[in-house]
Amino acid sequence: MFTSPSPEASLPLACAVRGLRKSFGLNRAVDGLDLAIPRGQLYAFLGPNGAGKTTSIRMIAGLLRPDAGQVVIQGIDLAVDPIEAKRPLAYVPDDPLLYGKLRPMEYLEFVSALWSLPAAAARPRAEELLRTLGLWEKRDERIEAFSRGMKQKMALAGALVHAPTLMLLDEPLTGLDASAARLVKDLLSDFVRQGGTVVLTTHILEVAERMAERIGIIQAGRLAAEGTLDELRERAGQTGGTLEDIFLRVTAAPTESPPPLP
Amino acid sequence: MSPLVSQTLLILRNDLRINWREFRSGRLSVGLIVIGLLLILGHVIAFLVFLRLKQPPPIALEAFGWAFFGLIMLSAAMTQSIGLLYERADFDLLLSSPVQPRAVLAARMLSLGAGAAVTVAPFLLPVLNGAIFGLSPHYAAGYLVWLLLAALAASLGVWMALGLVRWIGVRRARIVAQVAAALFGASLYLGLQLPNLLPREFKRGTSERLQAVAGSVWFAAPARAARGEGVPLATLIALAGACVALTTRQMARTFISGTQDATVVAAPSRRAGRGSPQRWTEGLARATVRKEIRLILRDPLLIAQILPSALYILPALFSFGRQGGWLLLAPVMVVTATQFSSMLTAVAAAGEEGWDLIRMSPAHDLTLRLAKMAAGLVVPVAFSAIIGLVLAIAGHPWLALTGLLIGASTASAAAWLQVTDIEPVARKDLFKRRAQRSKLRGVITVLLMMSAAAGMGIAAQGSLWIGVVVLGVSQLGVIACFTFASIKPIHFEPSSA
Repeated sequence: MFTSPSPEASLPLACAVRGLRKSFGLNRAVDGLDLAIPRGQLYAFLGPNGAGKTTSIRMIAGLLRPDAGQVVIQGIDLAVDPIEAKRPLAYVPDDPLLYGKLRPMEYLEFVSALWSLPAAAARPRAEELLRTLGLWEKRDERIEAFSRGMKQKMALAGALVHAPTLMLLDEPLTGLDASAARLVKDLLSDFVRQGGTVVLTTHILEVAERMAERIGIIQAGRLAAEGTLDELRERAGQTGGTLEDIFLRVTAAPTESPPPLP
Repeated sequence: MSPLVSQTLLILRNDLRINWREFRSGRLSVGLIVIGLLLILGHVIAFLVFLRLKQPPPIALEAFGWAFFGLIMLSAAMTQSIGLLYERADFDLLLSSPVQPRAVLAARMLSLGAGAAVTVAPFLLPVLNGAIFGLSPHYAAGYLVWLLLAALAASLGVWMALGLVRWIGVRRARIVAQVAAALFGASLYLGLQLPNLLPREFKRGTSERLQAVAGSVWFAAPARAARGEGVPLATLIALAGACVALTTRQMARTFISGTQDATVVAAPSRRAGRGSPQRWTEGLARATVRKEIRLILRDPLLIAQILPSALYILPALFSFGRQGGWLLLAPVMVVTATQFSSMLTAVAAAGEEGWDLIRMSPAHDLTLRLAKMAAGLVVPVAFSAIIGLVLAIAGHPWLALTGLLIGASTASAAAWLQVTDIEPVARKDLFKRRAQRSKLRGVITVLLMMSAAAGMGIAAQGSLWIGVVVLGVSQLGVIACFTFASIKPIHFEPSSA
């Protein structure tokens, strides 16, 4: 495995995952995953289809119960105190399910209430987010009338309204046109610059290459490689190679088949 | 075998396989057991009844029975028609393939007919088998009548769906089809209630006219065909065959053009409204209540699915008002509050669309469940209060107040049963799947509602102490619900990797 020394010891962690496992029937989707994601960084979580990215992210977000292992969000064990662990968290799935019959501000009102945000703080922030994301003009329309890109932006607004410090994004650029994708990337860069942490999965390797401070490549439910782009290049022996070269090399390497379930 | 037939059978086999797997998915094995038990119990009762009969029942009674089953099948076909004809995800595949559109339409129609036939099977089969073994083997023709009526129902369902879609588009057609289906399903009941709803001077005439209809040749034709009489049976076979053939031949083009337009028509309207809520709601409970009420009020299809229950309550309400005086509005208050609260809470709880958002938020589970319960209770209890106001104005304020309190408490228990055992279901499938959920909690809800309504009715009619005892028992049941119905973890479908 091409992994660099864990940054756990030197940096405060936004999220630490230890020995995470999850099976669906006989299919072991995540098989002993360890992650240490430092605060204030954009961490790209890559892997081929079916590698276990979404399952891992859903376990970190508290949406799936792991069979084994531990998820710690900013020092709080998700299994021990899920309410407090989730407070700094935001998660945007690849196909966000919004309330189609609500209007944007009504949706953000409900999300704010879920995070117990006072109205005095929530309302201006919601208005600002809609303006930033170019949805203000659409505030009178129901979400069901939005295009896929607009829905994706709406989901991002929902994720940001409670001012999270850790964002988990599953394929956030899917379905976005060039300008919307640029807007989202700028937004995420700003978020990280202000001290936030982003964990995103993407199949667009150029995005990971350009934006991510650290990259983890998962295959068959295990972390196959991890580090900065330079560290990955060095370990893969591909000086000057692109992330795509490294990714293909790592994911092409035969992995030990997971042991049969008891 | 002609390509049309082989293609029809291919698609039909695939449809039936998918339907069967959907039916068996999740907790539905419990549903199968219940249906099995219902069939066994029904057969035992039917055999006991029919073996004692010396002669066949009057033809008018059988005619009403077949009319009932026919209307239920028509209602089922209408309910399913829009979804099956316009909203199946496989149209892109089927219509871009070299399969004949007529084969697709024919397969969908047969699938609709099969669904309609299965809907009445648990109730029809015991009666039919009881008649065959207890009265005469000629009643075996009833099996053929059952299938022919299902084919007719499917055919009519297709005509209605295609006509509605052409006229008003897919989205509105779904709503209209739901309401029309509920009206057809309840039409026999409403027809029988008609004499009670009309002024006394018209009552007798209406009853005589209904009896005349029941005895007419056309109305009794399915019943006569089910007795094995040649002419009615041949007529029914000819009619059903002609309807199916005509529908397949004539409607294929309409079906295709409707399907091609469906995506355009189905696009949600961009309704203008106030973008910013005038008052930003603070606090999870209040925000959830507002959100749920908004979602329910803005979903005409959902309302179209819920309101038809009123078809069964309102005639009873008028009937009570006429026969027993306004006093009997008190049990109606209880039934209204409980029935609709149970349904709306199920919508708010099981029909939640944003579980991912809620589950990854730091919101407290119990607060959220209670908020959903409150959202389900608000409108029905308010409606019950309006009925209570009528009762109070009619001179029974104490009865109205008691009805409201009992209604609210029974409704709360019914809502509690919904929020303590949440099984997420897509909103559009909610009422289809609701019947397949926890049977025990459903039975408890009905028992609570009926005992509370009975207690109110008995007390209102003057037997105060008996009424109080029955009410006491029902309210003990309410307390037991809150005490013993523990909160179950929400069962989510496992995601694959």
